[in-house]
Amino acid sequence: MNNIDSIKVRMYRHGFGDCFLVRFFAGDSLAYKMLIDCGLKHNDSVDGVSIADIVDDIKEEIAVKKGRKNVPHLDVLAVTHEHWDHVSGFKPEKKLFDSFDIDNIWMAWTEDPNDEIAQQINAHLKENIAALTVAKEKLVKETNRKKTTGFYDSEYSGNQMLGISESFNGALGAILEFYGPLGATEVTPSGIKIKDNFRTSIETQKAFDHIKSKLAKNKAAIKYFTPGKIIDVKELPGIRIYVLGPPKNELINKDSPSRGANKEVYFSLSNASMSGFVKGLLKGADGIFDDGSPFQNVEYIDMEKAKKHKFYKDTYFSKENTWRTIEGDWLNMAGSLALQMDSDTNNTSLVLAFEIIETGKILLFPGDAQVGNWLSWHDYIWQVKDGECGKTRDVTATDILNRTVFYKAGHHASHNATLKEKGLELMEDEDLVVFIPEKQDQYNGIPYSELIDRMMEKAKGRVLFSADKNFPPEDALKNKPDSITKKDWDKFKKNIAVTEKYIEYTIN
Amino acid sequence: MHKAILQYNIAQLKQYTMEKTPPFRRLRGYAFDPSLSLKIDTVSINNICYKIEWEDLDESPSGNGKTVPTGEYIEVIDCDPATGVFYPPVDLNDRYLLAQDGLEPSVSDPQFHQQMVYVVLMTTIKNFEAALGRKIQWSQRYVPKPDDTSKIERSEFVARLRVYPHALRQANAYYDPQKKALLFGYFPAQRSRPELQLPGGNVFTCLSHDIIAHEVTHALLDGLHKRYIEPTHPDTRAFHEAFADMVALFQHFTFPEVLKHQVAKTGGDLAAQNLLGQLAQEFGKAIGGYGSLRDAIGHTDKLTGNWVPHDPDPNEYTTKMEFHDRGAILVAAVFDAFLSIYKQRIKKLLRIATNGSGILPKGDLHPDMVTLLSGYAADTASRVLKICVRALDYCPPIDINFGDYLRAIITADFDMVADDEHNYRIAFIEAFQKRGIYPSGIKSMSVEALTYEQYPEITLRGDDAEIFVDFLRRFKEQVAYLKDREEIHTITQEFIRGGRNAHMGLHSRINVKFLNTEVGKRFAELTGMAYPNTANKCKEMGMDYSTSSHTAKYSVENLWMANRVSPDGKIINDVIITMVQKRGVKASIKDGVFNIDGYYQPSEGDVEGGFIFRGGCTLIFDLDTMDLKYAIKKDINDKLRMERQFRYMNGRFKASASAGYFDEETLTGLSGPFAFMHSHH
Repeated sequence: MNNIDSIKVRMYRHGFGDCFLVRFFAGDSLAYKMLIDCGLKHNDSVDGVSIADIVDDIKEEIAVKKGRKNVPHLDVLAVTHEHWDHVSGFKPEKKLFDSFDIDNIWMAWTEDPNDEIAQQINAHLKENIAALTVAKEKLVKETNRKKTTGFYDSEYSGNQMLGISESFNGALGAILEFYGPLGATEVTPSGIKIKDNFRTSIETQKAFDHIKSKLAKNKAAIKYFTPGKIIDVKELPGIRIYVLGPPKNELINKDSPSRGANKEVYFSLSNASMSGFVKGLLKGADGIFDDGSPFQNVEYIDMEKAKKHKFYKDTYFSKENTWRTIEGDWLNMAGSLALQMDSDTNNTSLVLAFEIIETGKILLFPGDAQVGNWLSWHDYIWQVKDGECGKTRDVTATDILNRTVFYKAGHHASHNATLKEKGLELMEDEDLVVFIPEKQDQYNGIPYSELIDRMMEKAKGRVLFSADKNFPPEDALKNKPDSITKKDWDKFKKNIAVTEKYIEYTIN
Repeated sequence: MHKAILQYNIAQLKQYTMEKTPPFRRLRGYAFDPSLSLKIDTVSINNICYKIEWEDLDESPSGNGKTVPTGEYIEVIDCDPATGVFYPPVDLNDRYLLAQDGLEPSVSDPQFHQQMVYVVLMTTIKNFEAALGRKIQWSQRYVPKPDDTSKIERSEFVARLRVYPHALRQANAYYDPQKKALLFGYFPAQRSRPELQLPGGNVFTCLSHDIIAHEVTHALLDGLHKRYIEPTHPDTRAFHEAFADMVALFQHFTFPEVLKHQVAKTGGDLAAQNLLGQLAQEFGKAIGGYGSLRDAIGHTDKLTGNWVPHDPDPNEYTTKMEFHDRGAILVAAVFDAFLSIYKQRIKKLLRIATNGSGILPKGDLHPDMVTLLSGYAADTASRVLKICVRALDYCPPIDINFGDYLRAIITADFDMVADDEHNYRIAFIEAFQKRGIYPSGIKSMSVEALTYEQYPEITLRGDDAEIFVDFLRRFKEQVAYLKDREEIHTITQEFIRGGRNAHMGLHSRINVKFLNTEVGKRFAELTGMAYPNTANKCKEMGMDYSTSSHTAKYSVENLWMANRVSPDGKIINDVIITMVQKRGVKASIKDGVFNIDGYYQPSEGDVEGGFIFRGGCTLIFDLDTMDLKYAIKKDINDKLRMERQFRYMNGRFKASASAGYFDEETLTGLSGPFAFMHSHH
């Protein structure tokens, strides 16, 4: 079989979410078809380009004849991590992929049910998601209570405070949406309770399970990858696939360092500071003391009873003193919890680099890997052999980054998902092109403007957004940027195809 | 008949005995905090007995004769919202507790936590009062207009700071300026850190002396200069952090028992005397976040295991912009000054102990030597703490930077001690200089150049200035003997705004008539504020016009009377006034060049490309001579300062605005600027 000499990467334009169809060609013949993620942020949409629409497009491109029917066939479905905007397309109710014939499913080791550490990470994450949901609901309740009791009307800058609280609660909700629509909690007469059948929070887990159970032909077809390896695919001669992340290290159980570069690398499994907070949120509505309570066997007064107790009535609960009450203040920690959870999940992203061996060109797909994940790539050395009788040599992450000609922007171009010094700055190749699957105004801080500026510099203007109205690809392609030669710009434009549903780039 | 007389006498006796309260209250507490690493073997001196001024505590409303931990300054209410309970208040007047110096230190008894918090807060507050020479006040509460919460109707006196020892479930503690409250957090001990062996498994920030002292210092500083929260200069917020840390640190060193044990342990190398630096760092490390400010002091050399001080890098002051990094420079500078003063003082002792060789014989130090050395260290710490706090009276009311603070320290010290025979001032100047901190607008780093000009050319005697002298005289009469803080506050407000006792408030006295006299003109210059005398001129300059004083609006923020006694027995009576004025400035930066595009009146509200710029001054009057002793100003016409503030505010906000899901404005707005300063670093 002939070597693969060109790769077409198709980024779909369905909104804020990843869906990439990667096709490998040997000459004109289509040798291998891979889909990396298919998801859309909850409640987001683009007119005329729904997930169903793009799945239809995918079906057309990958149909093969099976007997008398045309069946959509994928050699590989790679799912980078458990966030809704990467897996919503696999929601079992939608049945979008049920007719697909999928040979292999690739996931990170963090999804492996037989891996002990993976299980711990997942359990921890799920607990945090539940806690965060409860925190957000309590915060909303608290804000409403303050509104109705006129608290904001009697405080200096009260209106501003209300706006800030609502903005904070909204941001928490937005982060929770990465985990898909949640049905974790219900409001009971005694307060907010976690649902009894709350196994794992989320639709996301259901989508994931669906992939693993229904879509995989057989269990053996699911592969869990650890970093530092090279995936050997005999159907892809001339291509090498490196696995760079997520990091796997024995120190996962140790408490994460609180400062310094190392802080980012470890999953926060045992971040003790948070666990008291989390336990306080997850306790039953009826119990008072939970695992996070600070004292045992001490005298106490229930807050409800205290309202009738003379001392507290006069000092804490009296009308003149309500401006100094603190019932809701402990919940503000939810912000840190949300950030940590988001970062942890993002750091479980499967990171793949595809190398066209003959030219050395690399295509980098880091999922939503954040700083910690990126930093860990530099801990590995891949050993490669050039040809059957060639010498073995070492390849480092720096080397891989140096030769990257296609970069799918991590986490929709947020500020901490494209490492600077040991990441973007190492992408030295003249032909660098960046694709960003993102839509405007979905999250504060996305896209991060300084990052976009630097990417534009590095890629000499060849940065394309899937669905951001502020950066329409049609406009980007109109004018040649000053920093690029006419020759390179023309070559780039020749290899780009833009339609309403997708942007496709051919690397050869 | 006899019975009646007997009863009468008993009643008189009771009255007599009840009036005589003891001078002190002794309460046990931790010198460090219970979870601190015991690597340096401080078990024996971790439990100390604090001694604070006796105050009557509020009686419990249950009427059972018990008291609650609520006194004149603070109100400890033990609310734990995460758990959903209150813990009952401790009765510090319980006779068994009085007999034993309070409850036994215990991590698992919430009532001891209340005791610890009470005693450390009161210690810190009293240290401040001793240094400042007056009673402290908490910052006032703004009450908004009923129809528009963005406008202030009036300020209200806040008698007591609220203290919540178990308010949060996080490794954090903070002062909330809106609620005038201290919130302390607790969190589970980290399994993987073997040093933290705690029964019950939780770490309580309310049990750390350093954290308690640090947080209440934020509140105390807020009560003195409430505008230091405004980030107009990279130093302003850093100053808050650094100052709070310094107070906690030096207060710690004022307990000689704490030091004695450590000084005894050195056994050998007295010349290095780095143990104090090492100790300083240890104090801050327990919880993590607080240690960062002291990392600038030094580090433990991995090879030798010895603690070595950091070499100061003068470039850091120009390059490090983040609050903690910057604050660390100030803490390191002041600590450096402390160390050099201490080393100077023990020189004679060293000479005796080593017979001039500088090398000690092997073995333990003589116990008398230990006592003397730790005594010197504690005394020096106490004096440095006093200077640092007193210097606050010599700082401008706005836009504080480290250079201003250095000048304030030098001037404050000069005011108290004319003859600096131990060269305290040189030690400070050297320490700041090594770190590249130079005040602006002075010609050299000598003591004379750094001290603010004493008795600036203005004479308040004569008819034109009678209005001023009359004010000072009346104020002195009214306030001098007042003890009740609310009364002091009320009378002070009258003197600022006008009222029965003041006759005319300060605002009315500084009117156009006064300002047009020779004295008045000179006065205006010294205040650094502008007094355009027509409404139009005010509009042109970007200031709001006051119809009552017929000139630009300004506010008298503080009016204090300070009574201090210098080390050589001199009694100093001062009146300190701070005034602030604002103007709206429209500015922009084109091609890197700063341009002022015009002015607007602040009452117009937010304006495109505009920002509020403030000027003002701290005036110190000598009550004995009725002269203006110092005028420390920030000029409202200073264009360079306008540029610096504009560049800083724009650079800062642009960078952080798109950095994450929660922008800085949201986080600050939730619980004040201090809540998130400690938690995620």
